[in-house]
Amino acid sequence: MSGGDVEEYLRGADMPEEYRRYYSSLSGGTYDIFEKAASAKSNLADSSGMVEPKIAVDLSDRVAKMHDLDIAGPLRELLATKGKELAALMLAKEIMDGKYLPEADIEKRIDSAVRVGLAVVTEGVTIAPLQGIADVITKKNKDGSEYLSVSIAGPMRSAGGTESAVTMLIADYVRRQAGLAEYQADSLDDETGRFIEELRIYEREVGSFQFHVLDEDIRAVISHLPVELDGVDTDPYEVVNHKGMSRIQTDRVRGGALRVLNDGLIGRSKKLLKRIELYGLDGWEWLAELKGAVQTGENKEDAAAKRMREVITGRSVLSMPNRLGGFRLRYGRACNTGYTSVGFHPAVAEILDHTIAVGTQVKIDIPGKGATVAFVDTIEAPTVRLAGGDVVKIRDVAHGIELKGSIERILHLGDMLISFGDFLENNAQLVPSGYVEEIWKMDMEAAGAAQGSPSSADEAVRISRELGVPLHPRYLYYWDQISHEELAMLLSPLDKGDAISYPAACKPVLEKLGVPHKAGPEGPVLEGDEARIFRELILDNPPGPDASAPVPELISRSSGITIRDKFSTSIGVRIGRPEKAAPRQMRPPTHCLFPVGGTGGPTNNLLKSAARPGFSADILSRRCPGCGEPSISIRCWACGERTAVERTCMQCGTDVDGEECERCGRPGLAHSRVEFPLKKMLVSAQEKTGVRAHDPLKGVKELAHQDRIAEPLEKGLIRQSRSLTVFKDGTVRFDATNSPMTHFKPSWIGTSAEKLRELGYETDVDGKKLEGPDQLVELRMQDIVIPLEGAKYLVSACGYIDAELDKLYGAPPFYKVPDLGGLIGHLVVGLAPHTSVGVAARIIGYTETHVCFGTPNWHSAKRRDADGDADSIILLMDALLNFSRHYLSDRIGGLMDAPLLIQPLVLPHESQSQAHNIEVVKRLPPGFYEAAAARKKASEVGCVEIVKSRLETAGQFGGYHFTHGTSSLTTSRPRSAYSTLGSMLDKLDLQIRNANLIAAVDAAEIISNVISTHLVPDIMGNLRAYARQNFRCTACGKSYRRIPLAQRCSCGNGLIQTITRASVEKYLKLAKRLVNEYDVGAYQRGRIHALSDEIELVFGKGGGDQALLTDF
Amino acid sequence: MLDREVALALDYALKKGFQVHPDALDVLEGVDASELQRLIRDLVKTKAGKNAFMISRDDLEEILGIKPEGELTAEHSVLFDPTPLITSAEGVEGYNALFASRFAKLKKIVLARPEASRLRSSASAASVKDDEEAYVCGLVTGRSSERNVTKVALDDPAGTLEAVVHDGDLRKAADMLLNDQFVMAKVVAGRGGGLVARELIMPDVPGSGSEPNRSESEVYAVFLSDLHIGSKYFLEGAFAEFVSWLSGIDPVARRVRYMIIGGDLVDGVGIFPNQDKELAYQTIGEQLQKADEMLAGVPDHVQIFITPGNHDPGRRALPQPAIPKKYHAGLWERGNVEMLGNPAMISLNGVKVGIFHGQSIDDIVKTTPGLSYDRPVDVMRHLLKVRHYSPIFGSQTPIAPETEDMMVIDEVPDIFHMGHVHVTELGSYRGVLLVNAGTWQGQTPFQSSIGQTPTPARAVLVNLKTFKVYYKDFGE
Repeated sequence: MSGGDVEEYLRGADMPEEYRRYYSSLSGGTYDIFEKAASAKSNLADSSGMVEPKIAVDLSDRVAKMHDLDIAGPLRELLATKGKELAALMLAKEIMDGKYLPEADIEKRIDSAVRVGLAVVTEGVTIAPLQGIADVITKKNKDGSEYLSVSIAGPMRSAGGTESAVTMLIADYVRRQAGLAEYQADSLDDETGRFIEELRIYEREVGSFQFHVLDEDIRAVISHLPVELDGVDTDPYEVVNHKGMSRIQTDRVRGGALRVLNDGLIGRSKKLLKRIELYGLDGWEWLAELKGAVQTGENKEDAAAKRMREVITGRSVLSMPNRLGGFRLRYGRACNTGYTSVGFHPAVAEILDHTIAVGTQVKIDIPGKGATVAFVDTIEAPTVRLAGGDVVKIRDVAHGIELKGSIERILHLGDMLISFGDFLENNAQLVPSGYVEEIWKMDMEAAGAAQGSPSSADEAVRISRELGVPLHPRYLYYWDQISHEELAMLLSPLDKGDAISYPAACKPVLEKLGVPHKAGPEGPVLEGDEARIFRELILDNPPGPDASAPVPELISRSSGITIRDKFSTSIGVRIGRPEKAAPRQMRPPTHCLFPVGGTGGPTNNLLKSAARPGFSADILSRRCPGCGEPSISIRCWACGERTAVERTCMQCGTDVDGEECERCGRPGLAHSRVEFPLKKMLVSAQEKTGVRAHDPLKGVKELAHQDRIAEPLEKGLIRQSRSLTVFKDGTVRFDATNSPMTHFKPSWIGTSAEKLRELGYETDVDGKKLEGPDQLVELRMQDIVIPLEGAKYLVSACGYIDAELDKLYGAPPFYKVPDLGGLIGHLVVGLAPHTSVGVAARIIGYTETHVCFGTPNWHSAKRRDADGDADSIILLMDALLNFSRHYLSDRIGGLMDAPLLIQPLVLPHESQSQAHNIEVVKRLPPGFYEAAAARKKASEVGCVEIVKSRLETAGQFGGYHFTHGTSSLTTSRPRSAYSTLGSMLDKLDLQIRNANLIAAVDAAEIISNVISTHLVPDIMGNLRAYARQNFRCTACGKSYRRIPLAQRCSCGNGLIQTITRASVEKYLKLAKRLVNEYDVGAYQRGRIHALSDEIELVFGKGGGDQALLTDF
Repeated sequence: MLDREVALALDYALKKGFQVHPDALDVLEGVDASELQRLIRDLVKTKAGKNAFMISRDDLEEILGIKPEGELTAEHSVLFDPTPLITSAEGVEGYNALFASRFAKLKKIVLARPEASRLRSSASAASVKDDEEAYVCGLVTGRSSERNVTKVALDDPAGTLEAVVHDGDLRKAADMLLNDQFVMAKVVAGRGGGLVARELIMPDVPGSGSEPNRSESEVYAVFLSDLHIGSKYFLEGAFAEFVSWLSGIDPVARRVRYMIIGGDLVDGVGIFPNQDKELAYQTIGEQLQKADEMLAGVPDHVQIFITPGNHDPGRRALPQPAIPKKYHAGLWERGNVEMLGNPAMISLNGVKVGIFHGQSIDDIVKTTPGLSYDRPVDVMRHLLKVRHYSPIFGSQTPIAPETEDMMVIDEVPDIFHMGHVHVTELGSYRGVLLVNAGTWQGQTPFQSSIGQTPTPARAVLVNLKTFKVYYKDFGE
């Protein structure tokens, strides 16, 4: 496909003219860079000589190019008429029939059919079809009949639960078409028993799955499967009772196959039933009989509650589920939330010492499991008690910062903004909303009043009395959360003059209500607006002692002012992964993919290796026929002659012409350990690039690809000179947490209105010319705002690429980017882990936060969800010029995370449905709040406009709205405490401080969880590991499983232990103090003391008091 | 005129269809009346089982313990207990010393063999000429199987060497080699360079030759392990029945003088994830208290030896010290209890009993073809061959650094007692009686989930004079 084809492809879509121009410029830019890269590479200065990533425009194109089959056209047609699922099946059949692979044998065709079918279902984005399926082969049953066997490998996980199981459905469909028999389980060995044992061992030794499944379900699935589910081993754990089985090649656990069984076939059995119906497959009726996913946990407790209990050390719990004082659910979307990003009031971050920052992943219990943090300042802020006892409601961020030092307890955390789309995506049940300003406004409109929010309690009371509208939320307290007894206590204050004073016993009630008050000498005192409200509601006309009606109703009746429930529910929140924005580095960091074996020391220093006489490297046997020198580039570095690869037979050692040995038929080996003129080559490379190597110039220990293909040294030299390192595929990357954004203000992204107009942003959301920094603008589909640190890194990368083009490829420089401003408008690709499609994007600005802001559609084009994942950003030219799959391992999983394909355009109707479940309304309609009050499922709500309803129209590209504004995207610090605090102890310290500070968190429970999930496993793990440890050489880094009897390394140096007493005891003192200070139960306390005794019995008494710990 | 109690008791026996020999009546008259009914009941029950319906004077004398037994002597001593020796070293120095000790101790064993005169160091063996053969010994550093050869690497203080094994049977032996076990090998130079192993010699036990140790009097020892007291699945009823059997009238029970509990006396705390949900007693103190109470019913003339397993408090790394007194002093203070470490060696009337809990089974079955959890005696044979209780370092079983390797089986026991796998199995190897003692814990949810079926509530009884061995099932 060329640029012209893209134009053709866009012609069919209904889109605004400006979008057509936008897409044209993106695709034009992409092809332009592609051509420049291709032309540069044609001088054969590196090891490939051609641009490797392919440009693929849509799903069909991706599937076709990933599998090297000419199926894009037919697939596009099938997709248009049949939909994705059926198209996958029909295409699979056609491939099996030999339509596209006439030469191949039946096994190869079946293999291709299953892979392509899965590729279509997974939209050609993940590598599951290429590497998640290890083999599709035919085998024989005991009775001699032939059946189909699908072997699953680890990377299948990238396909997700349902799709991974659909693989088996597709395989079964293909099996029938091929006329193969059904797989007969247990005819040779106890295969059902093997799966049960294997799954349980996996759960114990490796890790748990998404669901817990029953033995009877495993038995049912394996004995009924018409296609054999097999797999390659993934982890070094063996089964005990089901070894040496004739049809199962390995005794180890097969993680991929188990995942397909557990999370797929059983966990998603209900979803699969729908697919079976759609596919018209019979013989799968038994799926309906499965018990299905059983939530892990003893009393079938709610999975969400369990998630909240899995406390990780240093990752604070901010709010426990459904507790007054926790984060109150607020429905709506801001321009930076939705798509699993949720809004917190920025004051929360300030008063919690930046426990959260933009992009921090949080685990939540409603509506999904994870979300990323965004800040929205138009929702309710926290209410806090200060050291003296005063209770204050925080007004804004500045107020929060001012109070921060004197906060004793956070009584109410305020609101958490969650979009309707997130409920819809999870098909979650709605929870009634508390009485919020949005509803008040609707009530006002219903009453025919056009007035804005009241500016005082007086006005609020007057509005309520005159219009019969419920009391404005700003003056509403949690009356719905106090008991009748508590209400009765409030009816008799000590003094009800201008200020109302209460006895001290009333303070907890007032704190529950969330009423700001002062701490008087005798007890709490209400003044001003609060006193006014109290008089109006409960003191002037006290409600009677009637326990039959709820408290708010009693107050409404006696006062004549309607009081609505303020609470809805509180969301359980704990910190998940911290936000991330950092260069992607190999471990250890590497400048150049060149192998030094063990000669380069711990950093694999090329200079050190080059200094060794007779240095040899295990490397591709490429040699210049002219001057006889070994070479990395296709063109000889010394004389410019074209080089050739020499292969030798693995068996007989003779030279091989072509791929295989003529005598033995064995493949020729293309690499060998040969003496290599590294020093000479480095000198030449330095002369060529004009760059001096600095010590250490970091290479790799060994190359990953089977042919051991290295990078030209020039690339490494230039990277080092620009402080860049390389990733294993040859690219330079920056990783950042994904965050959605639909609108922005120029001031937020540091780009001038003028510059933005040049980029095509002519007007703001209201259609006015874009002139000022604070006009609101809608973000274009593939435009992104990247972290400032990332931008600086990419500016260096631009310099590196220009130097490389000039000095290595002999081509004109491309970027010429002198500074940050110059990077604006350039194209990059975004690439998600586990995928192999880089999605093009244009940089339009920078953010001080650690996230990459992009539209939900752009994030969605990269992969399926975005709750806290970090994706890579690569300069487009870098991906095309420097990426080579020949640097990557050809073992399973090696192609993950590599830009095999480049997708130049993102059209909304082609993205995943999650990006379509985003509301685009200015406000949630009354019908929505009614549905929430009735606790309907989100899918039953039809009155909220979402992107989905605009698909295939011009409206899908823009004109989105949001319900809650915000004045800023971030807080006073861009990074969360977790990523800035140094030691785990500091992090734990913050966690305990937070637990003690937040009323909605039970500190003893948190500590008990921290002990059992982190401290005990850490101490115990290290203690066990101490007596099973490896030993390492201090000089050459060689590692020994057992200390050799020679008592030193083969290189002659001494050995050191890898686990010491200090590492075992790291948390001991802390753990002992915690179990004594908090009520964590006898069992927990016993464990810690027993571990402490055990440490003494291993190391002897004393010596273990480290001075690491300070008291909190 | 018979006492009223005696008359009632006789009446009971008669009603059950028993005859009472007139001679027996004399004996009955001397009996404490309050005990009489129980005595007769027990007797009736025992004899009914044997289809014998005459109660004789002998029967009564036996049940009352007044029959002359012949002389039952009981003399025991502790031959080896690691408890006072542990925590002797740390870190690199400790591990250097540990493996040096292992090598030295096991080399000493093979030095008794004639081939040992031709032993060479790994360094000098590496340079053997074409037609030369040499013997080397060392600890296995690794083995790998390829299509048609097994490669074995071993090291001694002089360095490392690698040898290839081609031959069929020898290859099987090579595939059974455990990491870090001691082995002596005959090597020759291979055709294409490198070394070829021609023979693999284990330290092994001598077998015939030495006279086995036997007790002079016919006393019994009872072997137990893996009680798991404190677990919800501990079979308290069965164990209580066993304890009361010991003080009952069974002729074997009356000859039991020794009880050995080979580890996992209690279920412990924090041994596996979420263990608290499977515990009847949440603390080690309560669990040991319970154990103490259960063992209080064992007659004083039965000497009890308790060694720890991986569930007991103390330390998990091998060798383990005795269960520390601090958790519950009761057991330590009991007159007939001896608290020992793991492994231990004791002498019971001259019979040497080697006790090891059996943690190493986990690692050994994982890497050794043909061995499995449900056949622990095969593993025990293997351990005797390699003369080490837990050879593999760096796998699941933690092994602590000590100046001496106390896991080497330097002295061959007459009885080798192990547990850990919850399966009762008996066997023998070159004159050594092998006892794997099973468990007193029912099937746990985890065992059930991976399809392991234990054989609980069996007491293994060994006649120390005749070496006759059998197990008595209290599970019904």
